[in-house]
Amino acid sequence: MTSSSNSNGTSGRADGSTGEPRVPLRNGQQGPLKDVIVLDCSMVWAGPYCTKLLGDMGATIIKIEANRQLDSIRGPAIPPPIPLSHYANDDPGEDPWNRSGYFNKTNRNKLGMCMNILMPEGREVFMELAKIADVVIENFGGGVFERMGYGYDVIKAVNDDIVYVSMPPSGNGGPEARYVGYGVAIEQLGGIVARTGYLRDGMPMKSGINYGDPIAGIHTAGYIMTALLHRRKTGRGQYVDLSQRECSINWTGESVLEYQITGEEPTWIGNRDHYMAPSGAYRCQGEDAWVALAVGSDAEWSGLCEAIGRPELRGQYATLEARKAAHAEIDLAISEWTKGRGADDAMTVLQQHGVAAGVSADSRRVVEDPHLKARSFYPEVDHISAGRHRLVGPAWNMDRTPGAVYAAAPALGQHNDFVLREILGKSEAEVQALRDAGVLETTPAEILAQQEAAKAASGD
Amino acid sequence: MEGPLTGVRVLDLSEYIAGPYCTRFLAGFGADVIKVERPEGDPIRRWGPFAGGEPNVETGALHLYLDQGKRSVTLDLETEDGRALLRELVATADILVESGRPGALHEIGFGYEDVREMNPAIVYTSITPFGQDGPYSQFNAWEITFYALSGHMQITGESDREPLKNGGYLGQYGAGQNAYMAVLAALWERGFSDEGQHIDVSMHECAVSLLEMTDMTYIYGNQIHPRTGNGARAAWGIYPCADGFVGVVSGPLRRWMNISTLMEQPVLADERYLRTGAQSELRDEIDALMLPWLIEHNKEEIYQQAQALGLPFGYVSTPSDYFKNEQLEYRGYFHEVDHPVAGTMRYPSMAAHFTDGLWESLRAPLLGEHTVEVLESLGHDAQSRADLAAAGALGAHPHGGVTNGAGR
Repeated sequence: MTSSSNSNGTSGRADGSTGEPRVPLRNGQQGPLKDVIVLDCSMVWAGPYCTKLLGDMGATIIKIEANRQLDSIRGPAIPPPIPLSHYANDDPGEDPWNRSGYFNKTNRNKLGMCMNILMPEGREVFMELAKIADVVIENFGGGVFERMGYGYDVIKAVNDDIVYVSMPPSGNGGPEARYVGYGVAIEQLGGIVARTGYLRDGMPMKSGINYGDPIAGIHTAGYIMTALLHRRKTGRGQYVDLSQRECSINWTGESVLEYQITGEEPTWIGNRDHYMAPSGAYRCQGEDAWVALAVGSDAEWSGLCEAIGRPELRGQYATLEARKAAHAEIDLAISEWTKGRGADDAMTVLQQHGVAAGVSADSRRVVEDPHLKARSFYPEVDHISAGRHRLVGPAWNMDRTPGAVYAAAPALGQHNDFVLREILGKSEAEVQALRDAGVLETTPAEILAQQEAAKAASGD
Repeated sequence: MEGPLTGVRVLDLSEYIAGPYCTRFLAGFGADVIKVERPEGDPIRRWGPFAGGEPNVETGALHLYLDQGKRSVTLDLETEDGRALLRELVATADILVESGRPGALHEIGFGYEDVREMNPAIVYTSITPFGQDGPYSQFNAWEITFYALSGHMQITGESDREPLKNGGYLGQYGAGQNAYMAVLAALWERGFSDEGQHIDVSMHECAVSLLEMTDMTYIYGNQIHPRTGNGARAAWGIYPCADGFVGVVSGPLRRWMNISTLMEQPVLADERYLRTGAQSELRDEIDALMLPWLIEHNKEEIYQQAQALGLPFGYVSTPSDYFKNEQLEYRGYFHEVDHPVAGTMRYPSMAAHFTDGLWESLRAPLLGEHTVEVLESLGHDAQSRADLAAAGALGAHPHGGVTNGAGR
């Protein structure tokens, strides 16, 4: 079999795809998926994380929001006195919903439409977009999107080979079909938390973030690509019914086999490791400064003993079992050495000796990391309200069709006109009619109501 | 079964977790994944626990899970004959996945530039700790190294104790999952251009990407994201219950009353707990009101009752919980797979249902199980295979040696 004659070559495309973009691309939009169109009705983090990955690869992502129910990760339209979200330059400003860091990081590169899809005119526009889309994605959960009139059958009726993705917490159908779930619960249900906690503590420990969401997002992006390649081969679209809980179980999959092998449930062992010793975090000079390391081979053990100036330990604890038995003593020897050094210095010296050591980096240390800087991992973009900031970049580099972070996240409804005029080819009069009908918005309903009330109060 | 990737050939030179997890997905969706192993096998085969108890390269839990659906060929790439065979395989492949130290494969003639000469359409995927370039690219790393440098550790655990790693291998699984998506995207594009390319996946960057939230604390707010243990506010984290630990997640404020109902604690409905910020300020007080009910009830029971009230609770689950859960049963998530040495076990499949099925759960290969058939398919007859074996190209023990016994 040669590469050009296989089923993924140009010869067998049952879906008629050509690789040519079918809508105008924006400046800088590039990557392997520049011909793919995604209609994104997902909110919060898991779904938007998935479409972020596709957008970074050049796909056109059209994000649909309603002004009565913003993507909640934008934060409330009227923030409480002590805001819970992180706003650009710590300032909620006049339009806090456009300035949330949590929203703006995950939604870069996307086109933002704010449109009432429950109104007939909004529904019409939505279905026009569904007709040209390759993928529709939603994460409402509990069959809500279907009850809104946008189930798979409805979309499939206008676009037979659509890839329709639904990503509820535990899947559609079955006794838990209508259950609700946040990432904080999904990481527990998915087996991640059961293995996290301090050694000999009575409680496991939650992670510092809600892993359930990004894990589901990355899974989903891969499943969408799988379905698109299947479509190319067979001409068939696909309903993809995801379970976020199962995504997390996949990332702890070996524990399922371990349990069947040993009869023992997974548990937490702090920073120690079943297969490596020593393994831990060691205090360094400075506030809350730590270096973490694990020793996974004889060579690394030699390197560690040499680096910390304790060559006599090498022979004394030459085997993994011996090192596990003397773990506390070895920890002490390492700490004696690290406590007089900065974490970065300790990492450098240990790495020079072949030890897998890393600084326990805080958020500043991560963003300012010299290695990530050298790899241009934090590109900068200009946001219409938030200003110019760095954002985390794509976690893969392709040498011939690189992706890009080329545009900031959309302000609410920022691309209403672009989508209607440039993508659907509507006239200005048609767009104006939609505005007049109240289908299109750029301001949250709560704010509009406030403005109305103020107007009424001032006697206008 | 004909899968979406049937007809796609993958040469898998990767070891340990990240690369093999990526190729597990390629295999499950139909690709022909040839796992090219050093004669003694992927080191992950030596990680226990082992089915049957005794260390065995065929029965380690990680290997059984990660290498599902692949074929195994042993080649000694330190011999010229071994490298010649790999060149023959490269010519037949659509995708190559490797996890070597940057530059290591080039030293034996299989860096991207070398391989592109042999097969310009190949999608060559490198999954490494820190990527192909930059000051850390030659750094050594295990899972804890990613947790540390990517910022996960510093925000996990109690503020007055040491930072804590997560259990398991989220950094490596994450890199494999990202790589799977990237490989398919490159394959999608190749369908139009007929050209391959080099994909550079950094496990460190994949781990940082999981944390994009905390980046913004610094980028937007110029603050350091704190380490707050099991939660900075009440009813948003892990609590003990009768038979384990539950995730009490109060959700939106409008649902707060339902917690009072669930826990049969009318006082919890008091207005003082409904103020914005009350759940942080009055955490101890609220905890004291919830705990009596929680420790009298079982985790699955709490989860089911809370969900019936629209509360997004969870619980700290382990494999025995999965096997009792009706939803996972309904979805058929676990697939029974038989293995000639390890026996029959229930394996996780993958997390989505497709209209057309598309996924197949198969067993992991024995070390070198497919060396003969793959050589045959390359046109090497019995004499040629015997010559190659005699020259050491296939390694001294094509069916595996003993393990070093590492494990629990």
